[in-house]
Amino acid sequence: MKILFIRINNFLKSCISNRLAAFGFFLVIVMILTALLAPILAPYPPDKQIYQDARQSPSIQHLFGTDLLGRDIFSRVIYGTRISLMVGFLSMVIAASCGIIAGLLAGFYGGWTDTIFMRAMDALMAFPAILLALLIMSVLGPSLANAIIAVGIIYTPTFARLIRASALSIREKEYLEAARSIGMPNWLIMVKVILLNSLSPIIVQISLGIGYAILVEAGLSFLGLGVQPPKPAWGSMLGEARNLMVFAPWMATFPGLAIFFAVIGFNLMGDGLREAIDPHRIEDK
Amino acid sequence: MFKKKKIFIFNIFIISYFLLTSVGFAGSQMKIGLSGDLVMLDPQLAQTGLDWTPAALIWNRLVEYDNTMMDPIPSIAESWQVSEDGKAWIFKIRKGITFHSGRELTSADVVYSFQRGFEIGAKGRFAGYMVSVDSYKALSPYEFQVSLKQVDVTFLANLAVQSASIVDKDTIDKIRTEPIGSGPYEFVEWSPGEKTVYRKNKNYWDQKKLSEIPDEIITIPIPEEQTRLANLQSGQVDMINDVENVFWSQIENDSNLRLWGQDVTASYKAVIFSFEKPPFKGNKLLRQAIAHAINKEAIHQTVFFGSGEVGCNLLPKSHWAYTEINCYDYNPEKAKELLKRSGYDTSRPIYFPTSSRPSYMRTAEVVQANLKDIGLKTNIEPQEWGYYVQETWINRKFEMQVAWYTREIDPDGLFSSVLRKEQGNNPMRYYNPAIETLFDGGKSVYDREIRKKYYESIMNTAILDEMPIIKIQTVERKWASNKKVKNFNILPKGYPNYYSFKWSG
Amino acid sequence: MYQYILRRMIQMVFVIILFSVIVFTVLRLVPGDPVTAQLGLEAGDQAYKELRAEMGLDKPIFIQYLSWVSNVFQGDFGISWFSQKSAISLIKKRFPASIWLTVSAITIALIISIPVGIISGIKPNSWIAHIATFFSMTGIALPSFWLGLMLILTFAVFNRWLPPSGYISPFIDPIMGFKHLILPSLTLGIEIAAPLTRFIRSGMLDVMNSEYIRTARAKGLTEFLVISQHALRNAMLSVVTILGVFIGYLLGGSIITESVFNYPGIGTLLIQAIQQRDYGVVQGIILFISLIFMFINLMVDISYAFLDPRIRYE
Repeated sequence: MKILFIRINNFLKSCISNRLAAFGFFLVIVMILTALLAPILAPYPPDKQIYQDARQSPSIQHLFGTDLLGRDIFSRVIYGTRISLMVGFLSMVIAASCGIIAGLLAGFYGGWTDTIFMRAMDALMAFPAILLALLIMSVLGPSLANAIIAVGIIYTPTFARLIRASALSIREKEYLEAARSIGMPNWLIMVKVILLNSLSPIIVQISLGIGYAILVEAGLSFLGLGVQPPKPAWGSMLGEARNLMVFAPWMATFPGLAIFFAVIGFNLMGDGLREAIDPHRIEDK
Repeated sequence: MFKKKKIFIFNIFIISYFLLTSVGFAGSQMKIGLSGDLVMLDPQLAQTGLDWTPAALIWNRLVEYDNTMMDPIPSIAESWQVSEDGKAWIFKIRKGITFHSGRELTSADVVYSFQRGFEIGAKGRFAGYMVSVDSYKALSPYEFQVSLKQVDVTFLANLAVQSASIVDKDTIDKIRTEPIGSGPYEFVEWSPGEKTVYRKNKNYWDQKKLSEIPDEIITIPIPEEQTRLANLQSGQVDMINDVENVFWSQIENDSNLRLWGQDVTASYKAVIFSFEKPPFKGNKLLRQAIAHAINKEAIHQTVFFGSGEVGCNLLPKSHWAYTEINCYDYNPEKAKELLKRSGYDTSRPIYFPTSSRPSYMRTAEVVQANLKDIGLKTNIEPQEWGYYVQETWINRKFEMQVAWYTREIDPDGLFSSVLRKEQGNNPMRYYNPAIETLFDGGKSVYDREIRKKYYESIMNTAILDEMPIIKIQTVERKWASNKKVKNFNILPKGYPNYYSFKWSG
Repeated sequence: MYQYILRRMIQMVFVIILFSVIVFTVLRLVPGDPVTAQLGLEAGDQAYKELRAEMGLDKPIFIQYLSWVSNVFQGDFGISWFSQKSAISLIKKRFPASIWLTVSAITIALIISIPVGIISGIKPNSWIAHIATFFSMTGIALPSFWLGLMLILTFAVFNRWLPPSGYISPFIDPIMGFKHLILPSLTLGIEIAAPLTRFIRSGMLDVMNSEYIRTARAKGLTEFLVISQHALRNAMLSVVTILGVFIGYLLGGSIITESVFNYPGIGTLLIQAIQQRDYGVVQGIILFISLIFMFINLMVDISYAFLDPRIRYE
């Protein structure tokens, strides 16, 4: 635990010197606050249709303009933050849990378990992500929950690889011997030592992964295979805006920018975390 | 020196080769960008408007639509006569019509097509249109006779429908892959999702027509409206269908393009309910609640940009059979009250699948918001067109859905197939014997005043009381093209009249 | 070296088998039944039974798997439930378009990322390096479909310079064909160039800081020689290794790009098939793409064996 705090402290310190990471961190905080405070920040409910106001360009009453059915785009973008964060976060929870378990088993037990797991993970990982997502979505059906599961599955190998590398390196170390000699059971050793040691890279990957998840989900929703209407997902807002771009370019601009800033925020923060926490990083990908 | 000359000549060669190949197909070629791919090449099984194009181009029918859809023009049938009592029709088959395979078309082929149409039954549309046919036979190779059960004023015009196409018995097994017909164009190929190619039938019986139309027609599915229009503007295609309202002003201001519309439209959008299972089966109050909850004006302004005409009467106001009926109003308070009285458990969302095409999708979204306002939850499931047609329309897996009807202009044609037993446009499976009698009556006389009364009663019963269908508004359908297309007409049904346009490309 | 190649091939076979089992299982899990998809709901039990037997769906799962595999070997990747055409014929029609797009996109991506990546690796504090970092960061975060839409708006809608969609084979019509290719390959190319630049840059950085470069410098070689003879080779080596993964990005990215531009390649075929619940085609395409993907990876691995002296002398 203490190690974690020290690391975070380092991170914050280097944030001040590394302005990019700080900016990323700032964006992420803004996103989280927006999501939490959505009902207060949004001037209208996201699915309220005021048909008399339809297709209006940005104005004081509607900061980002309105869409075809008279919904306020600013409010929709704000509520869309919730969906994006939910997808990002939950999918990483799935990916991390599955990946950690897989990696632990593979790394600790080695031998056949290791080879099979890792070959499978390699194959999964190198394979085009969108393709995998499409395949999963086509089986499960389009919905928010399924999109989360799909992204989770896609990102699992990254975590598995990470934990396994950590587990392999830890395996040999002395304090493992020491722990065993005082009678700690195997699984306890695994959890404590390996997990704690890899906590930092895990956090880095989660941050990068959230950005990735948001992008993938936006792509799926754009194609109509992700979040279903009337939920205000940024990707589907872009999909809807497509035909009306000539007349209503604001409908496409703002959700696109939202996606961009969200992803960049998490990417920058993830990169910054990576440099701060482990300057001699074990580069995975 | 010599070398340079050789290279120079060689380059000229290459350049001219490329120039020649980029000219492309040697004859005149017309490209049409359509909002979707065709679904079914067999005209007797086809269910959707996009299948009209192959049906009209590859096959003929006994008669074809004129531009009003009320006065058909001779095609395979050169002339006809009807008996005094209006029940016996004799058609004279034109001599010298050949199928693309070379075989001559005779009344035996007409008999075969009728037979096949009736056999297909409810899976196609023919049986529905020909419901008053009692018997039919070939009197001679060039004479075909039909006996009706009673007078049917819609019979003649109905012979122009897609499913009344005269098909080739010899090649019937390949009708879905390599169809043979007698129409102005031969089928060349269908690359699903990419294009369909038709080539002019040099042996078509109407030789005069051949000189006015292009040698080749290629239809290309371009589902995205914006892209489809952009293709027209940049010259990739010569004509596009179903132009969305958003773009009308843009096209009108473009001197290179023309917008083609209809004089009157028999096309309308509605919300329909399934009578085959709960929650709408047997729950009239629930249906009426929804009728009062839908804000048609909102849909009119946002989805249709103010075009078309809102109304609950299935007949448009400009129609001769129109009568003012007492439409339900937009009244969320009343809707809430009816909802409560209906006893429906509002925690259960209603299954509301819809086609993912924009006009369907957006209509559904507005309806969803309207229903949410009265406390009803709905589950919209956007479905790709082919899947929607198969599952939701043909297999009737829905509780509620948005339907888009493009019908004939005769009042019977306008909605008999919507409200009559097990007809092609009645996936609700609504059935009321009283309505059946009224419909039969309505088409049994030529007197318009009497017919008007029949349809008024039908409206009062079916539309205002039982509500299997809630009409939202009429839909104006427009096509757009460049200057090479002339004289183009869109039928009230929303379909193009492929027999009246001229090509100057 | 040959041992290495052999090992890789065996691993590849293993992965292919694993993958085929996954695809097969997944497709069986799919809701929706090919039999009712073809016959509709009211065909009657007899018709269902016949079609089921014809499709081989009444045999035990393992037998189905084996016959599916043998079909694949014979080139039968399944039938479209929708149009009755074989998946392979549909794929064949769309394949050239996808190839054109992919090749053009790679070209654009390489043209951008190689010089930029190398320079920013050699001189990490120069203005080029900063621009490169900015560019790659932005490019990674930018949704490619948004970029595509913006490009269409600029070049095809507000100004009619280029066609907004579609495809003509450059063999049939080079000028128009080329015009159709520009926007989609730009979109896809930029999307790929961003992470590629980043990767090349970090590869160069690592190499430039390594021991043997210092040795080379100590030997007194000019900077130019140091870079061209030693650093570049090694950096390119690492690019080759990662090529397999980038092919993956390409295949994935092209699906969305094709969709934005209504480009008739394999990507749009796949999406259409998914939307139509035409699992025959979905299965065929996934299989096809995976086979190509694995084949390319194998080629990359083998070429790596020749290029990397460490493996060559193993």
